[in-house]
Amino acid sequence: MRKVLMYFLIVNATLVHTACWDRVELNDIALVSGTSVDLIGDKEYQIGLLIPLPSQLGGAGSEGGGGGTAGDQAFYVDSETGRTNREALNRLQNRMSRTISLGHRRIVIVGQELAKNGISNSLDTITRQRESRLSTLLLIARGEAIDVLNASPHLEQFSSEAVRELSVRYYWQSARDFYYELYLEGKDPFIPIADIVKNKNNAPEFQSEQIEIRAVGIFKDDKLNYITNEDQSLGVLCINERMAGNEVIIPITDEDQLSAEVLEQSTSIDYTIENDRPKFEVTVEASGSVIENEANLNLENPDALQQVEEKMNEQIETWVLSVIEKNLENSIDTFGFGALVSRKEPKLWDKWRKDWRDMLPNLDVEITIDGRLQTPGFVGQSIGRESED
Amino acid sequence: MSKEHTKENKLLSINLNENINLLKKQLSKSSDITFRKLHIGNQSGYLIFVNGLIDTNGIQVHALQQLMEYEGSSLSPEQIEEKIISISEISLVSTIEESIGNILDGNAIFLVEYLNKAFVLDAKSFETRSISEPETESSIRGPREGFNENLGTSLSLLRRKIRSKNLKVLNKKIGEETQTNVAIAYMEGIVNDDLVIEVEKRLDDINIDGILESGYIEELIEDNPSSPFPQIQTTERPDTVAANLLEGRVSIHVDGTPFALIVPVTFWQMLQASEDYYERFYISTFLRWIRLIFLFIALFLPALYIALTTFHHEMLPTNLIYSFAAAREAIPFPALVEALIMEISFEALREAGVRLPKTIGQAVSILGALVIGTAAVEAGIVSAPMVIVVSMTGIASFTIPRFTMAITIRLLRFPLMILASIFGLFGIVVGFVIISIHLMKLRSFGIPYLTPVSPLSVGELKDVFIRMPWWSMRNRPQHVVGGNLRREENNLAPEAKK
Repeated sequence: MRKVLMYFLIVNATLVHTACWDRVELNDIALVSGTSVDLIGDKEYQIGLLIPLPSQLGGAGSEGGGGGTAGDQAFYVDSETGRTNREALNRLQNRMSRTISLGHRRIVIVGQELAKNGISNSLDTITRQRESRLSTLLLIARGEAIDVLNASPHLEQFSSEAVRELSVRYYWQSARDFYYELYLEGKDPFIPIADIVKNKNNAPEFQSEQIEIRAVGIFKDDKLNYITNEDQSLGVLCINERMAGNEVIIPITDEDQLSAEVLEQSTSIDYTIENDRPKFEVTVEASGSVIENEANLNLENPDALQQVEEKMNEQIETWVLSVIEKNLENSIDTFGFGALVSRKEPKLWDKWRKDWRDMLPNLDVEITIDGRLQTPGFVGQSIGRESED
Repeated sequence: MSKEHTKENKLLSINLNENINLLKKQLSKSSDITFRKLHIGNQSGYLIFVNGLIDTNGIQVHALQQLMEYEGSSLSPEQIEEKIISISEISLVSTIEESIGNILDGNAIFLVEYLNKAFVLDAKSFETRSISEPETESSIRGPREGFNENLGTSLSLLRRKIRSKNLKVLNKKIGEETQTNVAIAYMEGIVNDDLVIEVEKRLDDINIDGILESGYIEELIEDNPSSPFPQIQTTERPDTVAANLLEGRVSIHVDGTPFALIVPVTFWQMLQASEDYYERFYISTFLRWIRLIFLFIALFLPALYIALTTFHHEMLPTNLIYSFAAAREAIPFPALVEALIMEISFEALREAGVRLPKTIGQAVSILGALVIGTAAVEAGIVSAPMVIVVSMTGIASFTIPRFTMAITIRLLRFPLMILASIFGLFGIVVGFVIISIHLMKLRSFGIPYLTPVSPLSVGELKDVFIRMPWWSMRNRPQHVVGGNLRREENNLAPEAKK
């Protein structure tokens, strides 16, 4: 009996006297879905939070009873400034009735201004803090980052979700990938750009601001160097083997185009060393299928198909070349030429490492495009149109 | 019952009146006992029996009539037995105590002048329930008969399954007042003899006023009486008992209840239904895995829900936690209280369903489902995900074939829920470790409860997580068999003729 009493007291003491439980009910946390970081002035950070409102998410029972978050929109955005990220966050917490929880943060959007000044400083908290996830997506806003949080894309409930889905389709760059590329010798990172665009609809009531991802910000170390144009963006897609599922518009004549869908795409980078200087060979392989034949070519004719293939290769080469040339010009190594050498030729790399940035503009890069069109689609000749030959 | 307690072991005298007076004194104030005086020729005698326990017609035709129609000289006991009374089972006893025991057992006692012995006429006949389908262990494929309250009937059902001279049945009487008949059945040549001795010893040690159900015996012979886990299997299926006897186990049958006890038993047996051995082995294996998975769901799901929604928000997929948060938005209670409300109402519903008459029971469960399922969610008292969790748990606990095990699991999830609400996943892990340690320590008649997984016996795993086809299970379970290990010939697997 005394033994039982003793056990009871011990258990009782451990349960009752441990003052703080970590227990937080779901009703008491603000699940942050995305954050934005902007640079205000010289050394002030502005942190924006995107918090979905559970009561607006339409779960069963959320409409009944008292309490609960309120508002018309499905989310709430607030921001605050501070000398550091955490200071801004702490100031935000002061006006939040629920504990800020970053465990489900899906995106971190960095303003262009901050990105140009270097982002590793302000992202330190992602790697250090317990709640943050390295799988969080990183994006650069062309303007202020908080505007991206504010956008309300129509197909998703909040912008973070839209950005995530868009990233799946185009450029997926998590904090982990970014850091990996940043710290890998002989490689510079890149981060996709989130643009805010007006949808094109003549009816004014349907006009709204939507988010678009179709360009990347090319970094030199942790500083944003330039934002790619359309050709360069496609070039980045090609070299990073993300072209599959996208389409190539092939100009046949000045007026007529032919569209092909890329089914499979791969890229290999190789090098040779000549006269103590590396020469890189970028080989892009792609296979696709014609999905639009505006030029009205007879694709049953193998010669015509070969002609189209050649034109397609030219097109892809323009894209790849445009980004590589621009990079080398600016001494940026986004595609890891240096990393390749450092892995395969450690001794040479030791020699080159210091001067690599200076060597970059003078590098020889040979580009080979091997594009194939597997099928002309379901029809050879266009139906309902006279063949030209 | 031990010998010291039979104080009045008085021998019958040759004086009939003295005997009758003694019996009448001992059996006084028992209006259901009949003392019938009669004459056999010139001798007087008494027929004594309990009304209702006896086949009155049989006694009348085969004893009374025969005895009273005899007109001649005195008869020797052998003559009475061999010539006069035409009842198949007849024997002689010589003490008052034995006579009374036989009367109360339902036999008729015949006392005759100048004889210091009493005839025991076995003419038991009383109303019993007919053999019906066992309701607690129904099956889709397999025999539909179950034991009933009559020990004789139950043993006959068993004997009909195993027509072997090796099937041995030992009888005991337990309960000072109830004098309940208890039978121990086992297969000689397969069983471990020490096990039989141990069972007999534990039964002999029972000294209690009455045994009304096998549950009395179960609690009195368990290895670890304070464990929540059942260490003895109860069944009302003759085929289950027969299968267990053939594997070298011992069954204990108690008069007055259809539930037989089987010892020793392992944890895995509790998750196996007799049907596992009748269905094709793929199906049985699949069903065993379903049960294993749902065993964990029944034990841990509410605790996991509490831990994940109050401690480890990050561990849930983002969209799932939004749904949970939306559903929980208007709920006034913490997750633990919400879970307890639901789990306890579910248990109450189940209990109400069992106790109420069948027709009302159904109405209660429909009403309860409506109240808990819809109204409580709409009123904002509990959240919809919690309703799903509780109903999943409820369904999961019913997949466990043995009721005794299912109720243990249902009981254990409450401490786990409380641990989860205090320590989160850490608490669940601690709870799981404590339960595992307890299970590893537990024994059933000396056999470790988790055999053959812990201690590991690879050969016996053929019948734990999977059920191998019959032609490949050549041996009986090693851990329990004491005699012949071999179950079948080699190469029994059927092959296609070329």
